[in-house]
Amino acid sequence: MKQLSEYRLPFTYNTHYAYGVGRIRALETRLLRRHDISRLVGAEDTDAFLRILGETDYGETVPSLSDPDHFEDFLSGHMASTLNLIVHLSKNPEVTDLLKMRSDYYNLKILLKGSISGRDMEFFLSPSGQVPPAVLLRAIRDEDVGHLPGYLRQTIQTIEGFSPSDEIEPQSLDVLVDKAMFSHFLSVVMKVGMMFLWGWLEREIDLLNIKTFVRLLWSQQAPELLKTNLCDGGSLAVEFYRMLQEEPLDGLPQRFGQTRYARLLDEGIASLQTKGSFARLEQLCDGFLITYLGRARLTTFGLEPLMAYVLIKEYEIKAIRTIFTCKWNHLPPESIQERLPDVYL
Amino acid sequence: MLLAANPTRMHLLRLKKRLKLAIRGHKLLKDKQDELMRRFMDLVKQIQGLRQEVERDLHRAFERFTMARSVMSRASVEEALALPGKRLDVGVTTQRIMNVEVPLFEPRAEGRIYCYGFANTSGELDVSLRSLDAVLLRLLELAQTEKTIMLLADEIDRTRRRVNALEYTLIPSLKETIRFITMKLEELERSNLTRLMKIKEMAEER
Repeated sequence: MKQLSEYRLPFTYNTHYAYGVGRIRALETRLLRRHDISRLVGAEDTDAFLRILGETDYGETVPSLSDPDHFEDFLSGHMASTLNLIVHLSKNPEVTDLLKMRSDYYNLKILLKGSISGRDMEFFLSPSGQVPPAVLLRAIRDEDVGHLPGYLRQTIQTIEGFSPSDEIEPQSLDVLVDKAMFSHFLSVVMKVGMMFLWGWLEREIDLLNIKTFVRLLWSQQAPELLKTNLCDGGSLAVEFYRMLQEEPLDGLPQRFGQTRYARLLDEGIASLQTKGSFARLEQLCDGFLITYLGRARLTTFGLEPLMAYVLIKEYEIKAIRTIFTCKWNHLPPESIQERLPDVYL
Repeated sequence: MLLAANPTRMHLLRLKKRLKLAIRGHKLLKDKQDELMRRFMDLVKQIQGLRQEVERDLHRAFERFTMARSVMSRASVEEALALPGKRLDVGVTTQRIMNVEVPLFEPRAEGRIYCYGFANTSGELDVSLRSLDAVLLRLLELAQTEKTIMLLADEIDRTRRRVNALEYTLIPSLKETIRFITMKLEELERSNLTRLMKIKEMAEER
């Protein structure tokens, strides 16, 4: 007969993140709540908006507004400091570095487009990447990618293998880089076995494919683009979308009925057909991902809460940008609400 | 206003020829002015609806672009639109309307308007670019018609000034001068006749 002690689970909690998670839990209380967002949406003008924003966690650095570009810098600054904090708290740099690598992929797109068009686009480079922009710039300019990390080198080789870089269509360039990025992220997350991030990436890719598919159908772009513009790695295989390429838009919700995306497609496509706007579909997609990220609250110790915090912060900054831009352009509150995820309303 | 002219028969004939020419020119210019006005009014009617449509569609496109801009960062928008996929060349030739050279735009577009990937862009950007793409050719048509209208308006103005100059200045002056010379010549003729009658009378008395 087994002893009782044999039935006990071994104590294997990873308490490495006890401090990090504690800190994040404290910071999470300062994230914008529904009523903060409602007040920002209801602000009369940009001055009132900034005054209300000043009462939140953003209060210390709210800029005096003379130029809307300053506000964009202010938001980028906030995002960069959040990223730095998470990288500092992380004990799995392999995973947290992924957050910074997104900027590397963005910088790569910018530089490749700059080299094709012959335009100087250094101004748009993001300093938040793993690879300093100057190193990437030199590598692209000198066509010497030997010093770049493997993931960037491989991406550049993929693009060159697809077509000579000066003849490639801009959309294909973007799609190739995005595909390479998701493939790289999936391989890293799979290697470390982090199911939470795997689930997030899977949903992100699914939603990206769904939005891409709907956008391609709506804009009546060539069906062959479906073959090249969808990313692998989602829960719905690319073949599934290819089978639907002859389907009319209003038939899609039924075809997705057995998937977890049925509701958002149902509402999103109805709105697209009545209002001619993707706002509702995108709003529902963002809400879906934010709800998924909320699962990290159930994790006591681990990297998940840290990663979820950065991603939720991104959505929060996106919501602030949306409200500010609409206020700056004197758009009515209804237009703003149409574009904010339900979780904020 | 009298023109500077000697009251001679030769001048009278010359002035009468000028008057005839001026009256004929006036009629032709008047006809030209009427036809220009007719074409001008046709174009104005045609452009009124077009301009309203273009303004409405441009307004919608910019509104959609603002929406897209609100959900995308500045850097994402710049990156997405850094390398345009569609190229538009506009060839400009001219055609003649009532001898007025007006421009004729011949746009040639190639490539696709959607020049970005889907991961970091909003569907609203597709909507706004599609609207802009749809309005672009009509914008060129509007520019061509408005320029034609401006050139026709200039020509109408010039023609009207010529017609008015003929109608109110040159023709009355010519008529007045002709009447003056005619009267002067009649006066001379009468004085000649009187003189001859006097001479005849003196001769008979002798």
